[in-house]
Amino acid sequence: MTSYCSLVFLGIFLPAVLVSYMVLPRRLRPWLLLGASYALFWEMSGRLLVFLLFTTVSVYAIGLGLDFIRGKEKSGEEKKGYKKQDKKRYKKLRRALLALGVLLELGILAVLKYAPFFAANVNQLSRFLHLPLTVSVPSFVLPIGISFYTLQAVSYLTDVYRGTIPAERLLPRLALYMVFFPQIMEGPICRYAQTAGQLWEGRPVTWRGLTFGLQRIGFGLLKKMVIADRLNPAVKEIYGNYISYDGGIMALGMLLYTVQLYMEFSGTMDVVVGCGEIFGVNLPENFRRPFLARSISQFWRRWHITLGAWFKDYVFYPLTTSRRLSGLARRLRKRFGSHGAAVLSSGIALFAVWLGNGLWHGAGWNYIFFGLYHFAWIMFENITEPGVRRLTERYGINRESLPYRGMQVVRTVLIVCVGELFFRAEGLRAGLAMFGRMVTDFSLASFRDGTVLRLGLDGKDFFIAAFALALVAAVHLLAERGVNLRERLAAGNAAVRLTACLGLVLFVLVFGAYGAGYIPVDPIYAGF
Amino acid sequence: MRRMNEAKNEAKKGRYWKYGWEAAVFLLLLAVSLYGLSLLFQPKNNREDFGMGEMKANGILAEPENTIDVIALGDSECALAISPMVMWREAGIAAYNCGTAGESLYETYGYLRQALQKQKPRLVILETNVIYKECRLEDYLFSKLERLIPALRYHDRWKSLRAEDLGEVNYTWQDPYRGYMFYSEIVPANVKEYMFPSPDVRRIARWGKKSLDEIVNLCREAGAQLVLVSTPSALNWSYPNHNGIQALADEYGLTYVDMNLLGDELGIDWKTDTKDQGDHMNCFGAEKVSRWLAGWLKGNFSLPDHRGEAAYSRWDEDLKTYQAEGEGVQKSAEKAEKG
Repeated sequence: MTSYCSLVFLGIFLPAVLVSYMVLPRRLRPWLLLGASYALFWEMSGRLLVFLLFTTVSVYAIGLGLDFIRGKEKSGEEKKGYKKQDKKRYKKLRRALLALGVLLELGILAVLKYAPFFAANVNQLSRFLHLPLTVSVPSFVLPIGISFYTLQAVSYLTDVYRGTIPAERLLPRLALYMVFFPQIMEGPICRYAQTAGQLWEGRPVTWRGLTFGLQRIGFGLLKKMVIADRLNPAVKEIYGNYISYDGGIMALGMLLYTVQLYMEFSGTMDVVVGCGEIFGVNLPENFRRPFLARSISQFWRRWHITLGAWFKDYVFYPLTTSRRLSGLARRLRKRFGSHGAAVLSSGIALFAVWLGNGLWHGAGWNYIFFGLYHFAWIMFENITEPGVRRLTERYGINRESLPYRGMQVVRTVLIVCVGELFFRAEGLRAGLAMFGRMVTDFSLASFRDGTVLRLGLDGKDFFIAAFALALVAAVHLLAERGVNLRERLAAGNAAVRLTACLGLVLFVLVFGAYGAGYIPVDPIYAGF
Repeated sequence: MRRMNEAKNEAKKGRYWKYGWEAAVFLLLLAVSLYGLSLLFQPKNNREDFGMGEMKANGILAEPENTIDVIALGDSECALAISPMVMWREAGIAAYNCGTAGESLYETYGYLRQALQKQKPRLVILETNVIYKECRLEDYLFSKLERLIPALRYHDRWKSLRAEDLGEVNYTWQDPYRGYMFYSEIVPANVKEYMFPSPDVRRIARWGKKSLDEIVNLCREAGAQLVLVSTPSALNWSYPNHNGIQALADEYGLTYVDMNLLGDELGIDWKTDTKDQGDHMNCFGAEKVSRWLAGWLKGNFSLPDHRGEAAYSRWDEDLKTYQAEGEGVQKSAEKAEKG
């Protein structure tokens, strides 16, 4: 099983777990979810399950350790003779234990995911400097979802350290939070307080949860199978053979990949969240109509929301509130004013966030470039914001008018698309070459001479993908205006509801890119 | 807690019945729609322009009822090595080759099932390379679902629907080579010996084994004898492969012949008889394989010789076409050698 959109998952695994869940008494349901989640992990990663088990047990033990020290600290406070020094000592101890936990979890991820990249770069550098140094480049197979569950582990430890949540005493409950089967592959990256309790409750399956969940899964399949998977052959062809095409095709490739990535990732998230809904678990949303964002910072609050929130809470805030950075901000304020100081000091934290974000996506220079590219745009927006505000005020431009907002949305989409070009390119060099070709060799000749229809998609493929995209866009626009279609359907006429559901299923079955003539497409984000 | 109460209330009010009806109506409408779409999308003729893939293998659909005595199944190794026209010329055996490139065992089962709807073969030859093809549960299940709901198999036909698709199914295209894929290219293999004795046994994938079980059972039900045949392939075949197939043949009680072990008796010359460095046979290799196979089948199984029968007059005409192409290739090869 390689995807949540596979027949084995949706046709066998999910129904089997669901039926078993419904017939089991409530107290046994979490155990079923745990067993099913481990079974799925084993099916996908086999013996690499040991890494997940190690992370779970180590996080559990360190969490208890943090709680123990906090307990000691509290009981000490009540005793006579408790000194400030003791408090400092306990704090130091807790911080050391947290650092140990974070380093351990991130260390495993770093070794498995980044050691080959690091070693290859050391070798390249040593060749460049003519040094007699060669490091052997290791090759590891990654356990499925390691980038996702590691971040969950770090968030759990940090939250226990901060005292936002108590340490979990029941190991299986923590284990289920780490491995709940719909989120193993592509997240969302949940916080312990968000899902652990819900998962362990063994909530009953309701008709509403079941139908809402299935509708959400159907909508996700439409995004993935009708749009993302259909566009895949053209994306593969353009990025694999960019040298054969002109700038117009590069621009098309950039656009198609952006659509494919969004439809693939958000479609899979719909399936994931839909699965959660069936079991009465509200998983956090990862997308909120990102292509309606008016700036890059806003885009990242709407795209892969749980990753952005993780970096904000566990990298950005700790850095900006650190003593050194606060001190620096104070010094900068005298010289650059409050806006300048805020931009510059937060810039340091943002740099760390975006470097981390790029690296999280993959061990490659194109991913680092991708992260820093977004960092540069966010900094640019932050720096220019007061100037833009003054200019628009001076010329009486209404920043909330439709044309202005539209211009902002288009600009944001273009910036994002260029970023995705580098993200998908096979290496940074290829990304730069493609971008260069797009800018210096732009022409519409390939659209006129039929090259565009020789990329693996014919006119009908383009049409149906565009039609489905328009459907998705319409649903998103309604959602943006606060219209919840599923609620409307549930409250409305049964005939309309049945027609809509039947139409959705048949649309996916007829126009989906699956079966003979199509190569199955692995989920993109599962690779990260 | 609130959700639990909601669920209890819903149950009390008896609303689950209402939901049950709605679900039943949905499933019924879905089934009716899929049945209708299956009728619409199913190719109405066995030609590519009607949306039928693998035309050569599906050419069997247009063969007159109960005229084929031997059906060969497998992947490209089968499709390029076994020529029914040579077997016809040599022994009057009416055979059809349903092999297709890149085929998996679950697809092989589908071709057999399809062929058995109109034909009652006495013998089914399963070329063994297909047995080692990757066979995932996902694909195995999907193949079952496709057979149940043809709309899933032909769903992409929305692109090519035309007026004829509202009519009846009528398969008319007959392949003069009876499924055999004729290739005359020669790309020699630098190989002398490749079957090095080894005690190792290659295992087959779990879902491949399940498909093999089904093929064996289907042959039994249809009264056809199943024979396992490994055609020569210096690139794909080895002793562990042979041992694995021999173990399967013993398990199922099937006859197995490995042409890779026949040596001079078969006389494959890897300098001239392969189209791609020992992977597949070309027409010269297929001639040797099919001639040997015809003799072996004639000697070991009671297969009728249909030559001269009025019902098979078309086979003689098709043989002429086949021979003409073969002679043309031979002449070009000789010319090239002289030049």
